[in-house]
Amino acid sequence: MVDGSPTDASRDRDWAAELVEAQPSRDGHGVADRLHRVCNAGIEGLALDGAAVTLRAGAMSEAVAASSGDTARSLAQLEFDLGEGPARECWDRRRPVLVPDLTRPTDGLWPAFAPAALACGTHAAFGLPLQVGAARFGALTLYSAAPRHLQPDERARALVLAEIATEMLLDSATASADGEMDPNLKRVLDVRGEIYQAQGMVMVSLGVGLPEALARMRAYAFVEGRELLDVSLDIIDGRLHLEDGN
Amino acid sequence: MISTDQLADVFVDVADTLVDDFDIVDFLHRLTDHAAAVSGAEAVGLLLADSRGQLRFMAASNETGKVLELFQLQNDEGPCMDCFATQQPVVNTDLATAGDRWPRFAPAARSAGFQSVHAFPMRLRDQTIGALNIFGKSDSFFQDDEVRIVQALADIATIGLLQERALAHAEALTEQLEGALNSRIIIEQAKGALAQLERTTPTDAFDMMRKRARADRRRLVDVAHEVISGVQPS
Repeated sequence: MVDGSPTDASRDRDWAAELVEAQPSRDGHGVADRLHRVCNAGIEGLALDGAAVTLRAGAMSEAVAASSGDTARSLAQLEFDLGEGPARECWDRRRPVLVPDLTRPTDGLWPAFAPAALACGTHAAFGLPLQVGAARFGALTLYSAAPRHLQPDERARALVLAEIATEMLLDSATASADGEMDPNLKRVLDVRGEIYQAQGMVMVSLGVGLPEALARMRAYAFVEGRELLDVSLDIIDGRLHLEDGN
Repeated sequence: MISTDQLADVFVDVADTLVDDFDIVDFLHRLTDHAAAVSGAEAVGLLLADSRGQLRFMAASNETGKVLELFQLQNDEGPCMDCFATQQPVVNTDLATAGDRWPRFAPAARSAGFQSVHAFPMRLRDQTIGALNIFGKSDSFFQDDEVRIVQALADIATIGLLQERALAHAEALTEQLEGALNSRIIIEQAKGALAQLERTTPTDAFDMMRKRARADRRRLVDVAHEVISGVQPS
């Protein structure tokens, strides 16, 4: 984008992290509480009216893990009954689905969800997948009472919030992640493809899922005090084999 | 440069984005192959900006093209960065005299055997979404008309991308780009998984997946999915 630069990217990142940190916590711990703060950061930071995090494991199991309030929670739950909506759509398409005006959905999207959301006073819905490649956790959905677009800088910030939620879920996937992760390791999404190649290799060699493969790599890098990229390169070149229990 | 007949076919293919099974990742791979064929260059690579304006590797005509793109990203310097930042083409740059401009990139590209480099912005009106990089080994310096042809190829590809599904609203480009970037991650994960399974390198694993996709006329990302779901514990 013409208005973007790497400096903007790290600024968005800092903005989102501070905003999430500033949100009051409900019970002070657990991934659900942290996701709850991401939801509240979304409505405060982007001037929206509702936010929810829906988690899915396969086709059948889905749950609303966090929400900013009752309306957002009902909208997210409505998708389970109707089988359609922003969370479901961005999961299926593996990409953001941003609908600025539910009275004019593109391609006849959501014949059941759109009128139901409008009846609840919601005119815009934005679904952001919580995913790292083929590893999917669910979706962050944002709702606005008035029809509205997300401007380019707002889109970038919404994506950062989804990235932070994804990292929280990745961290919670590690059994050993009681302690705080190195802030440098928090950054999961990287321009370098090698991290993901190594993730695929570890998935096969340890017989674990993709989220756990990445969690193991991050835990190893943290314990050894090394960069995740260096660890990844060692795995690809066969200099390092993560073992069970690593 | 290639013949006029072949050139027409290339342009038709690049303009053909309104098909049912359109996939950005496959499309950009084809674009880099075409750009290599049209220009006669040794390697072509392509970077696109994500929603936060960060350039990300998307496609290359071969492994060398990919390595040269990643090197630029890693060191935050090179023709693709300059082209994206200025929104202007970088043409006929002799790597032998570009050491001041790109102190890390120029020597690295030369030691890989390259002599010339060009970069063309992927732009439509005031919006630049990425850059196409062309690397030549011999004296492959472009004439003016050749520069125009390669820029036209980049322009048509950009129009095709931005109009994909007749972009219904302003947010649609974000949806497309983020989807494509995630597809790239899936492909990298599958490369690693397949390399581990077959006891080969990620590069060879990628070739295997590309061949399979071509033979079965399937999208590369679908083949990548198949690899991952084949090994994922249930």
